[in-house]
Amino acid sequence: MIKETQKRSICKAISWRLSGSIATVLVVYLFTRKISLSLGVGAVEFIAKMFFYYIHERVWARVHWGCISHPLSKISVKDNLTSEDLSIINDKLKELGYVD
Amino acid sequence: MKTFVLGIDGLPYSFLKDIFEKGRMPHLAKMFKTYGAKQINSVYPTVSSVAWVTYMTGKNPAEHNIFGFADRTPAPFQLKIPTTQDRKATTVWQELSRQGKKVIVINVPLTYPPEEVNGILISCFLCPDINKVSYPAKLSSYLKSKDYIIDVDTRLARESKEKFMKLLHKAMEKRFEIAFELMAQDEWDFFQLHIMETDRLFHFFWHDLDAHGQYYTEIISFFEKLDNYIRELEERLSDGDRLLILSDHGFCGLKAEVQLNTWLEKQGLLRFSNNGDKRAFSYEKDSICYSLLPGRIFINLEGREEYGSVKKSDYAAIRKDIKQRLLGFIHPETKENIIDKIFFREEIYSGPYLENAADIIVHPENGYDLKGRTDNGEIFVSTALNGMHTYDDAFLCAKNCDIKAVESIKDIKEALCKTA
Repeated sequence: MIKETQKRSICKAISWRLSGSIATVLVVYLFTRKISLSLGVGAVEFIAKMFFYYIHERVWARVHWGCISHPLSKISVKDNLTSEDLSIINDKLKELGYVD
Repeated sequence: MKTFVLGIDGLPYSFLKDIFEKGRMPHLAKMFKTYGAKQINSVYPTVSSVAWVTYMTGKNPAEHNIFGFADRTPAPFQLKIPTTQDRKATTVWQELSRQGKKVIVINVPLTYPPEEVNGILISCFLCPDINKVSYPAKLSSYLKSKDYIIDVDTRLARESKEKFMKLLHKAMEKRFEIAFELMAQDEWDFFQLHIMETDRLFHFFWHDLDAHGQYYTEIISFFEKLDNYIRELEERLSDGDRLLILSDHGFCGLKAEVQLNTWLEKQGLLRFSNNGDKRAFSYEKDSICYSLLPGRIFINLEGREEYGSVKKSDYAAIRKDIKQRLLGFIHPETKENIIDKIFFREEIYSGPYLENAADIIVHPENGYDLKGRTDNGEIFVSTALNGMHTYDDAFLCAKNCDIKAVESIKDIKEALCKTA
């Protein structure tokens, strides 16, 4: 299964809200013909719904139902190596004559 | 039916034949006779990382992407240590895990960082820290409580060979102790235990194998102990279980380490600037080639290497020229040939990662181990190591498994899977 990072969820939340809020501002203006009210509703909605969208994304990210898994997806390499790990490995291999 | 694979690093078939004649490893000798055993080939280059990944994947290096203990990215030029993350083919224990079989794998080279399996994986001597050695990670506290040794400290061999020998005994004892406990406590369908200490012993004690050798008694005691563990292992398995015992390469005495880069430099094929800096391949642009150990020569190809200057149109002719020169490489005093075989990469490898392979793979005559230092100035060098790997002297002994078609370490996975 492809995992979505938190950063990606945040970016999607912002882009979705920007397009959604522009639509809201236009709709409110269409009915009220009041610019300040339209922008106010759009601003409040922008913040509130972006927050709820992010929560919604993170909840769905934990749900595996409906996702097609690659057969190897459950077998993965654990932690990445740190530079300190690599340095220790290199010293060990040098001692054994396997690297120069 | 369960399967147990015991890997004994670098244990030569010819050494076993010899020690069997002396009556020193009676249990393994009996297994050879009862179940059948054979001499098998290793891989090129003949190093444990490539050999065991070839075993565990059943693929050649151009398919699994592991070509040595050290590798390079050509542009920008950078040396790197390949790990599990660089391996591109699935292992026998990954496939069995996917089938829902329970696996336990201990200490097989190039299994670090440990990957998730359906069971337990304790990774190899590349692991720098016991807290990072296993999957699942929580197993490390058990290993610590057992005083498990990831690998012997080979620096000790230069300080005190006596202490080093004791450590080799202890490390092997710990591995079998833990393997026997996990065999009894955990569920498993496939179990692989790897003994690395034999490789370390042959590297540092080959010259003591003679009956007059200073550490001959301790060496024989080590192999007798190993034989007793093999007997106990067989007793712990059921009659119908499969047991495979194998090594990944053989060993022979080392006459000299051969610094291939220094030879290339003296041939005018590798050049360094006049400021004396010969570190980390700070080679000049007009160099023709460079080498990584053991015996891997990379052409300084334009468009591929960071400082590439050899034109693609000259590639074939230059490889042929280097091959010709290598064929004439002899020891100046003994007049012995240094090089046994020279391969262009496509002659021995095929697969999607062929481009990552060296352009020329050089296999030395027994006794001359190819190295790759750049800063020494001497071609022939002696160190504390006195044993080196051989290609055609690994072995395989198998109970309840058809190994007729197995000729090299690469063929074993197929034999395992056929009857799994």
